[in-house]
Amino acid sequence: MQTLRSTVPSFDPKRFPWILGAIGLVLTLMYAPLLGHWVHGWVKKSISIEHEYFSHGMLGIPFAGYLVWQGRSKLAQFSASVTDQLLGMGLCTTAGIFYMSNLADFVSLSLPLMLAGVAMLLKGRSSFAVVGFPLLLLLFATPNEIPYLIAPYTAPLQIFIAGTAGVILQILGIPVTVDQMFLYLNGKQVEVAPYCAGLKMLFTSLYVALLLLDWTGMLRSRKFTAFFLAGTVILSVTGNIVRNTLLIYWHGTGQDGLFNWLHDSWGGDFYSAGLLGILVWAIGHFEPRPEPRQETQNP
Amino acid sequence: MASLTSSKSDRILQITLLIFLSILLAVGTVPGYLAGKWQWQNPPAVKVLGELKQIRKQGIEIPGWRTTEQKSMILGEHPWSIQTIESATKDAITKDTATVFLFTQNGPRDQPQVEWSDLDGVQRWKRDSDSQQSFIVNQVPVTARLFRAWNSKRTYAVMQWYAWSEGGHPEPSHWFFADRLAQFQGKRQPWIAVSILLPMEPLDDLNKYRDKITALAQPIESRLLETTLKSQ
Repeated sequence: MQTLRSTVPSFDPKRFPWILGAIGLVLTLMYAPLLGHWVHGWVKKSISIEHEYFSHGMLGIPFAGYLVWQGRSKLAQFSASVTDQLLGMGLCTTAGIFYMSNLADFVSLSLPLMLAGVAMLLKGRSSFAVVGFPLLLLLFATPNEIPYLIAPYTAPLQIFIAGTAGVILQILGIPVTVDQMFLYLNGKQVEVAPYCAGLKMLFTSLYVALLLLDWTGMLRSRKFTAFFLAGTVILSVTGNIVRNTLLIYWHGTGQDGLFNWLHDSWGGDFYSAGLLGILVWAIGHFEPRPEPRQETQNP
Repeated sequence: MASLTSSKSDRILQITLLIFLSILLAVGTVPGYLAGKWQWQNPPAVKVLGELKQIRKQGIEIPGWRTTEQKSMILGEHPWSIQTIESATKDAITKDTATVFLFTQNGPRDQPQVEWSDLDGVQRWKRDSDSQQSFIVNQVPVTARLFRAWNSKRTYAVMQWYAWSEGGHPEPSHWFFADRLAQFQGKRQPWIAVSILLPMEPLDDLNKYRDKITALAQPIESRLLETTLKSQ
C-alpha cells in the first residue's frame, strides 16, 4: 500500500492555492458566456462580418492557454513591485468599468485587459516574459469594430486588385474593362467590394504566421520574423488577386455554380486552408537551421 | 521590499482581487445567468425602424419643393428611395429640378458602410472637384461632401452625407463614434444616407452651384431632424 500511495500525486489541502483557484473560478464564470458567444458567432457566422474577422481566435486562444500552462512553474517565481501592483490595479479597474458597460466591444476588450491586470498585480511586469505573447494572441483575437472602421479606406487596395485582375484577364484574352474597383465582362458588373479586398485573410495569415513563428521558436530571431511576416503579406495579397480573378471570370461567363462555390461555400474555406498550408510548408522550408560545424569536428 | 514579497502581503492582495472580481461577478454576470441572456449580445434597440422604412419606401416631403416622381429601387443590394423634385415656384424659367436619393438604417446592427460607392457603381459617372460643405440646421452641424459628376448625357453637382440626430458627415466613422457614445446611455443614433443630384451646365464650374445645392440640403436635413430623427 505504501508504494502505491507514492505513485499517486498527493493532494495536500494546506498547500493548494485556494485563493488563486477561487480567482480563476470567478474569472471563468465571468467570461465563459462571452467566450461561448464569440465561438458561436465564429462557427455559425451568426453575428457579423466584422466578428468573423477574428475567427482565428479558435486556434489562437487555446494555444495561448497552452503556452501559459506550459510556463506555470516559471510564473511562480515572479513577484510584483509596488509600481506593478498599482499598474495592475489600474488595469483591473479599467477592465471592470468596461465589463460593466454591457456594450459588446467594451466587454470583449475587458477580457485581455483584466487578464493583463491580474498578471501585473500578482506577478509583476517580469511575468510578461511568459504571459505577454499569449495575451497578445488573445488581444488580436478579441472581436472589435476596427475592420468596420478601416473598410472605407481600403479603396486603393480594391482598385489595385481590380486593376491587376483586369490585366491578368486581358493577357488571357478575356475582354474585360476596368473602372476603379468595378469590372465589366460580357455586360456584367463585378465590384471588388471592401470585404473582397482580402484583409480578413491577410489578418488571419499574419496571426497564423505569429503562431508558427512561436511554435518553431523563430520568434526570437527578429530578422527571420520580419522576413516571414513580409512573405506572408505578399503571399496573402497574391492569393487574393488570384481568387478575385477567378471570381470575376466565373461571374462574367455565367458560371454561377463555381462562383458561389468560391464566394459563399466551402471553396472559400478551401482557399483559406490552402493558403495557411503554404505558410506551414514555408516555415519548415525556409527556417534557417544551424550549420553543422564540420571544420571543428574534422580538423 | 521584503514585506512586499512575503506571503502575507501576497495573500492580502489576492483576497482583495478575489473580492473585487466577486463583486463584478455578482453585479455584472449573475443577472445574465438568471435571465439566460446577456445585454451585450445586442446593441440597444433602434426605436424608429418603422419610420426609417417609410422613408426608404416613400421618400420625404421637402419644404419649398414639390415631388414629381418617387420610386423605391434596389441599388447595390439595398432598397433606396429615389425622388425627383422641383422648386415650388410658378416661374418656369427659374424653376429648378433635382433628384434626392435616400437610404436608411434597417436594423439595430446596420451601420453605414459603402453607400457612396454603391451609388458610384450604379451611376457609372466620372467625377472630380471633390470638396466639403458645412452648414448648420436647427443647431446641428452638418458636413457634406460635394463633387461634380458627369456621364455622356448630363453633368451634376452631387452632395452626400449621413444624417443623425446630432450631426451629419459623409464618413461612417463620424456616425460610429456618435452612436457608440449614445449606446453608453442606452440610446442610439439612427442614420439616413442622403445624396442630392442637382443638374448643372455641362462641365460648368461646381462653385457656381454650391449655394444652390446647400439651399436644397438644408430643408432636407431640417425635415429629417424634425420628423424621424426627433427626440432620439
